[in-house]
Amino acid sequence: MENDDGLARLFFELASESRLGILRALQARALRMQEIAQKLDLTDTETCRQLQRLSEGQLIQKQPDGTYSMTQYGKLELELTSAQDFVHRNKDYFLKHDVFALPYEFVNRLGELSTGEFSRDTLGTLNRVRRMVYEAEEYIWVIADEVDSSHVEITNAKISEGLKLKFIMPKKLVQTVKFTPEMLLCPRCRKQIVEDEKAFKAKGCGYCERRQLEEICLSLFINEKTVCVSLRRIGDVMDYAAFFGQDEKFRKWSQDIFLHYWEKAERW
Amino acid sequence: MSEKEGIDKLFFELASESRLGILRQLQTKDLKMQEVARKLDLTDTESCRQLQRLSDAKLIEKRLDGKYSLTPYAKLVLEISSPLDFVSMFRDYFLAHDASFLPCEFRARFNELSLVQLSPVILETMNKVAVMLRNSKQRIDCTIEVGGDLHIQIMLQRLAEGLKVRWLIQESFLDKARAFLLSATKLPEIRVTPRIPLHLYLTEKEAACCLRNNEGTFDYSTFFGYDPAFLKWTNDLYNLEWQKARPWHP
Repeated sequence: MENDDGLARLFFELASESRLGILRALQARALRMQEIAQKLDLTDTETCRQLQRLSEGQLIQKQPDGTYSMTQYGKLELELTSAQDFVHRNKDYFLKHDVFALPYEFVNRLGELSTGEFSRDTLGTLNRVRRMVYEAEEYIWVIADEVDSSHVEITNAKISEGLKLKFIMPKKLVQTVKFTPEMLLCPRCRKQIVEDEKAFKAKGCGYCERRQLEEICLSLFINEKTVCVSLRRIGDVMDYAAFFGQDEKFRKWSQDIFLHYWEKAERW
Repeated sequence: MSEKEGIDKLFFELASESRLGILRQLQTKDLKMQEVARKLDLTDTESCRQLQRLSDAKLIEKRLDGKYSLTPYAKLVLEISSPLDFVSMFRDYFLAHDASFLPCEFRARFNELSLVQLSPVILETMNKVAVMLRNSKQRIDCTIEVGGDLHIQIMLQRLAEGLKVRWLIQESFLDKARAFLLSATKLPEIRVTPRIPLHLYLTEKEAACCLRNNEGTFDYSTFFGYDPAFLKWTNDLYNLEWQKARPWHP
């Protein structure tokens, strides 16, 4: 129970709106007690008491010039709470979706998705993804267990203009759907991709590479501007509630997980 | 999902030793109220009250057979709390050392270090690293900033014996590296980077890592480990730094 003590105590430090507010304010810069009181609209006594608590927990320290600043430890712990913040804000989603099917390092890194915007409505999500297909110029990376047939024509047109498409789909889709391999290939150079992949890429033409996985446990749609992520519902179906994100961390998480599966997936 | 319910509310649910204890018990298996009370040495009333709180927060749910189980949300919350747990267990270390040099995804993955041992004494660390390098059968990856003569000699010897050795060295060490390699029969694979963010020693079965302290230097207070999660964390980080660095020949 000793470790639990430590964690429960840490949570207690963080379990107050004003203490969290103080930490977030100090994250930007070191402040004096009065400045903190003013910023957070607290009385001096209250501020003093909270600063005392946070100092005892060694999350902050008083500096020789009288200002309070975060300790290295405090910065680190506050940063790590971004994962809790994200999960807690989307509690209803995480009550019903299966995160643990993902590789554990990506579960640990969930905080990187915290700037994402949640879209719970199916049509809204589908429309946004369609817009992402239209706005893509450089590349599209997809993990999906279904193909939206309305995307095929525009994707083909884009590929002939130079778009690079990478697509991971589950084996059962490859096998069961009447999916003609050409329909996503570069209409101009589809032969070369089979015969001489290197020469094909060197031409700077767009291309489509597809790989298959036994099973997929998230849907991912990435272009050079935006990312859309959605997880499988517990009990095996995919739904269209999704997170859209654009900032660097959100993109990094998504690209890393795509490449993780890309490495594992087989060519056709 | 009201916007008003801030993260402080979640932290408050987790901020009690008995509530956190209940969640940890349910992590291993589903339990009835009385079993919870017994395991955590709580009265039935107290246990009942805490279970009610946790149910209200949707962290646990009562099943039809009367047992309580964690919700998927709670499982996730516990999982992503483990990096915070690790950092708070090593609070003194993280007060004195600067993890901000690491890419942020590796900080989020700090719980993958949870089975490590900290060796705070410099000589002990040096000796442990030497043993680790001598025990390796296949490969050694390491970062070098100042370079301990002993370790470098061992690695050159192991290299001559046929091991695969990679050095990621800091620019400031280049002259010394040249001197060391002058008489070497075989060269390790070398890459150079302006500043290494941390020290890593890796073999196929063990790893050691050491962060810069708040003054920016290395004090050799070092984490050692050999479990798969720690090896994955250190390997991923080494390979990332390796990719960013440029190849070099003496």
